[in-house]
Amino acid sequence: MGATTTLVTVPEFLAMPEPEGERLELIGGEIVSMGFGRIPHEVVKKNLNKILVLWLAQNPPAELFAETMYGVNDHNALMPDLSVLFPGRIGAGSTGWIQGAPELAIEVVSSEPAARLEKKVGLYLAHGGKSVWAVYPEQRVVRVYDRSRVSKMFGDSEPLTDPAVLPGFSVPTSAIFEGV
Amino acid sequence: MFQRPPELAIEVVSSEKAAHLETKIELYLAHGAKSVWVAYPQRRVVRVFDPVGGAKRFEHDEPLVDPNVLPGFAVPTSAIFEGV
Repeated sequence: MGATTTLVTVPEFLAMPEPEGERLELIGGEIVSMGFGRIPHEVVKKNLNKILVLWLAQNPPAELFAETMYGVNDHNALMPDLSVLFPGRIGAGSTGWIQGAPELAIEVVSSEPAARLEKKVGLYLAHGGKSVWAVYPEQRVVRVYDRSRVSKMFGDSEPLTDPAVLPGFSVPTSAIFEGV
Repeated sequence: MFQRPPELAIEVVSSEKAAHLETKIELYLAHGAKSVWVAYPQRRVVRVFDPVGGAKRFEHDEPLVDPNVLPGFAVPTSAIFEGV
């Protein structure tokens, strides 16, 4: 008889004590370590953070969040590097965690397994996300996934746009990789 | 050893890192491949990458097609994952 695996739920996961020096996500009821980003990962995250904060300040009302935990469904709690939320997702005085996926989830890719990234892209888009950016510092490309079957790659020499979530937004993709 | 990539490269993902996979996709397509299929057995999804930066997702019983490389070819995506 095979071993039985008990799937962890989001409330159970978020009630657990946070281990020191480790960041965790819950994917498919299993707790996985996120690992730590090296310098290229952190520089790209910093660049994106700055670009989006400045743009969103001029183009409200969506807002940028950093390393925020989303309980996307019963057995998945994901923490994208950056995320954009539309207004009304967090009521005044709310506690607990944000339910569902952000409108835009941004994952800066470092040591993550491809299968896990694919699963996360699918989870975000199946639970309210409109768009996911997978940002590859080493390759200097961004892949934008949305709910359609078609995803698009943006290289160093072209402007990154995402009209479904950020209408009017356009930034040279190279700016995201500045300093890397 | 061949000096150029194949016209169609197919990668079945298991424990490979996402960044490594992305490098391979770009290398194939930058050096002559017309298409790269990436199959994810766990999610039962195939993504078909083209040389101009697009990628198309196929899943469930949708017919997997790739007219640039295999004109006329069509197979239910689920058939690829039969037995998984």
